[in-house]
Amino acid sequence: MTLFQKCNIFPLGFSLFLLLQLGLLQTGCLSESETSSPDLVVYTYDSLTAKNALGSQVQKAFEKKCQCRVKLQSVGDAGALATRLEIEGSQSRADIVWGLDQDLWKRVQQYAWKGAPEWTPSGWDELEVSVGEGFYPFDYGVFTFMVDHEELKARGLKPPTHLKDFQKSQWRRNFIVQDPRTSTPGLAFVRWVQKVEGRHFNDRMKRLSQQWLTLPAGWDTSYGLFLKQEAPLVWSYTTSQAYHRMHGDQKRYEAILFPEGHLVQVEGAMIHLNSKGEHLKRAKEFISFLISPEVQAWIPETQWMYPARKSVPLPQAFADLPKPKLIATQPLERSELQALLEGWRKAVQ
Amino acid sequence: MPLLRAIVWSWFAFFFFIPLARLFFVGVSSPHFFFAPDVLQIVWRTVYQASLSTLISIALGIPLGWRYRREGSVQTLLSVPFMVPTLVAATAWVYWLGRRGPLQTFLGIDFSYSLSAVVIAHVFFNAPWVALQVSECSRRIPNSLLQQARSLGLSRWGMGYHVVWPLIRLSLFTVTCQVFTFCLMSFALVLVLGGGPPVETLETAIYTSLRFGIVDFDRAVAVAFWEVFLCGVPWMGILLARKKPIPLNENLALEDTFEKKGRRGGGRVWAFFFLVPYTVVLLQLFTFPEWASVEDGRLFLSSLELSFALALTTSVLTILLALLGCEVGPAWVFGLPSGVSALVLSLSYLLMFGSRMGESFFGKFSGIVLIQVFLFLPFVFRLFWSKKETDAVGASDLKGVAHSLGANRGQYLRWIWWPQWRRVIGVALLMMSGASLGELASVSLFAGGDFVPLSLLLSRWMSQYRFDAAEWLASVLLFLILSICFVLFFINSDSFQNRKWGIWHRS
Repeated sequence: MTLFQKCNIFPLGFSLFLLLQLGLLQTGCLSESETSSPDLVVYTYDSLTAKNALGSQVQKAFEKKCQCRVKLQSVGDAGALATRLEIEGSQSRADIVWGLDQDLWKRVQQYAWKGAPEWTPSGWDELEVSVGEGFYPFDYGVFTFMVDHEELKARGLKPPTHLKDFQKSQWRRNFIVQDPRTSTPGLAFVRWVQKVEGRHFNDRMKRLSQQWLTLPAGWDTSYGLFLKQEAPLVWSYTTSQAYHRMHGDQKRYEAILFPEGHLVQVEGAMIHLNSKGEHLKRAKEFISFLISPEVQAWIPETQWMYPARKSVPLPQAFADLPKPKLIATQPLERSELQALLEGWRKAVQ
Repeated sequence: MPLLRAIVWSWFAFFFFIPLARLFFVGVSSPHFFFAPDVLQIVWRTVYQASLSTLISIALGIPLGWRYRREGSVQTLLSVPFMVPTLVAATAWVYWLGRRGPLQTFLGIDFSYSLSAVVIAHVFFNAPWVALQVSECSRRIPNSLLQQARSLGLSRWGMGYHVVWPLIRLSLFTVTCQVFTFCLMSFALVLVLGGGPPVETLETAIYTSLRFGIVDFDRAVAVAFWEVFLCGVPWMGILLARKKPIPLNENLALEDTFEKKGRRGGGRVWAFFFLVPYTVVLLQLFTFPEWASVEDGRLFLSSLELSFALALTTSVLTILLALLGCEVGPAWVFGLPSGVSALVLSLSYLLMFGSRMGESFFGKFSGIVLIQVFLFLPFVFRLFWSKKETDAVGASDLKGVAHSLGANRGQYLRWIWWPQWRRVIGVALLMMSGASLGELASVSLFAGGDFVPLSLLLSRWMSQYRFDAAEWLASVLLFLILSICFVLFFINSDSFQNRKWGIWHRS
């Protein structure tokens, strides 16, 4: 075979090289890369694991306290967290799942540690909010509309005072809410409308769908559009006002209250049923640490939510927040949630 | 070759067919979901939006591509919009079409958060791509053929119908299918610009079925099936109905045959027109925000490094696989992934490999690269396959000539194969790098913790109220892609190559 004829082997040669690389990739995919397993595996959502976020601070502090190794496994956002648990099922390696809210917790409650009824973390009696056995709250927020007074004035509008105001023509394409299928605040908005409007829910939701400007998939996109002055109102948390006050804003951005009341989102953690032995011991310590005064004091300026523990000193901007009337709700069962979203989908199509 | 083919098939089986099959079997418990009224409604809306976007893109792209087919600089500019990450493009279009944008402020036109906004954004993405593909295949039409047709008295329309159309219709059909597929699987643009239901695509429907609220596997699988079907059928049709094209390699070099000087400038103006929307994002680059700290700088640099590593690995692997596919075949295998979205593939990997894939750095890296390779492979393969078929006759002649002149393997690759393929490989490298830098679906599922590519850093900063930082990052992303674009094309340009060896040509 001449040298030139061997040219035809070149594709074979680099293909084999390529496949060798792919083989290495495959091996990498399926093998454990860590030489020692952690003492505690915590599944949580992405923004908690960012540098200087609450999760990173808690991880460092807890590792120092317990002289153990904590692995913080980021799994997308809160919704993705629940989806991951459902996919992994009983094969999950999580000891703790941190960052579920009350509705997501209902979806994955079957994976909670069964010993929860017989154990309470230290500081449990100091909590302001509770959801159910096995769910350990660490912060909560109150939903409302945030208003941009400058933008309102530019459009010649005054802040709405009731939910029904949003049906008036002046509010057409002047507020932003999130998609309930992909966003916890978005789902809270739908639940709020359902609570307030009752049997008129379908009609009201249909009307509202003709009024809102857009339905972003997440809170971050919607708030970004709000800050770009696309609309003078956005569905968010009362604590968003505290963020602006602590970052130089005087009175431009404000949380508005409605006499109909406001829904609350409670975020918490649960111990996974697969957690056993030493891991279970660490998991309990972690939960107690999460609701300790030390960690709870970090929450306002990292999560921009209220700490779950009572009598934790709050920054002035939090203390100045309006005190809304709260609406108590039960976490939705899966079938209820499906029915609600189905009704919403039919109304907005 | 049979051994190589077997290896390729087993790789596809392990990383494509089997995970998808598992997903389908796990997900489909009720076949009636495929024809549920709300699923069919989404299918209809997606097809409507994709058809509209495609028709307008084709209508604009064909005359632009034909008219400026021999201008290398125009072709360079036309390839840029396609490289813009959709996340960055969405940011730009919010500015132009939003409530505070110039269209509404100065012209009183409100296209914000509607189907119109989505179609406009799609057209700006895809019309230049159509023009580029049309010009690529049109410039291979021999001038002598056109001159003969003219001398025989054929009118412009006659020439177009009897001479040009038979030679380019397959490529035109291919690019139509490509654009239709892009619009069908559109995600970020629809999510940001569509305003929510009723403007949604199959891809966003999969997303909403699998995210927070409910894990609606049945619905997600039904929608994924429709997506695979609607994207896959045109591709299969092309592959099965293809005839060997007439060799069109007489005019490999670009010729300056313009009768009027003004035409060159006109081409560049048109090509720049499609880049104008993104300039607003670039302007953010110069507004260095107050937020920057040393920690932010470190985070940004490590994200940048990671994103480049991902982009380079994905691009190189995709190109190598596509080249391998051209050697080994069969072509239809390499076109198959075109109907599968990143979300569907990511979900199937999670089911197949469990949490192991997402835990280690290597697992995350591999997961993202694998998904992106499968996402981009059909397009690169189609690019290379078309090139291979066009050059088929000439290539074997050249090989024979090189052999007879005593050239060895290295010399053949360096002086014959590489000059013919460098442009298309450069285009593919550029496409894949840009696409990888902005790809979000696989990143959002596999990245996290310390594994933070640029697109995830952008979304993280937004969730921390750091919108200024996120905007600046979007501008950096766009700047990087534009830089890659111009550097690569400069290197690949004839004037650069000729200058290197001391031979000057007017370009």
